[in-house]
Amino acid sequence: MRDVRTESVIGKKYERDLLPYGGAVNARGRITKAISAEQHAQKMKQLGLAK
Amino acid sequence: MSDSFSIFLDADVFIDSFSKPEYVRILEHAANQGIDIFSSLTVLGETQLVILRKYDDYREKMLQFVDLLVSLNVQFLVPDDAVRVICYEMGNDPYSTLAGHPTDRTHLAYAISYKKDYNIRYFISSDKKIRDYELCEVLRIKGFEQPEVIGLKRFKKIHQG
Repeated sequence: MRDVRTESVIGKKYERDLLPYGGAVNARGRITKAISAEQHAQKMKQLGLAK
Repeated sequence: MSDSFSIFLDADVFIDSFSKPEYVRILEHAANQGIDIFSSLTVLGETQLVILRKYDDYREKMLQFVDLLVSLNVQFLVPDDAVRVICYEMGNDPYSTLAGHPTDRTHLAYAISYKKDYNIRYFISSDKKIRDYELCEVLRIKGFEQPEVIGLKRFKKIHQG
């Protein structure tokens, strides 16, 4: 599973590949939040879809 | 702020803000209170379509909309796998108030998926179908919750006096 260093993408211009596990972008197209691989795995586990 | 939380705005809030200056004031006050304001890429798209369809002065309204987004520092949630799965599960409930309303379901699914990540306490909407929606059992059993769905004036009454 690709690891996303959450802090490293905050403030960058949004491109789809920068947020593979979700997050948020402001109205100027800058990334403000990023979900980490660990958070994503936990959520998918909660949904019963853990790999 | 010890009781820090965030809110999610539905498309009708943005559209209503054109004719209701009070809405803008409430949202500005919320932003000044340090409340993070979220929405989703789907709400952004729907709002733009409504502006283009509804208003002859759509160019001005679009600029007004963008200015509002920037001034409130609205953050748009992007799709993830959980949103996709939650949408699917919500769509399997034929008795819900959102049956046959996939757009509304999708907006709400974003708020449900990200609720715990960003402490989204309220989904702000005037849409009765969404206010009356009850999350399907299959998601409740798995520990998912929906934010409380309230109108903007109700939000003001609770948090701004």
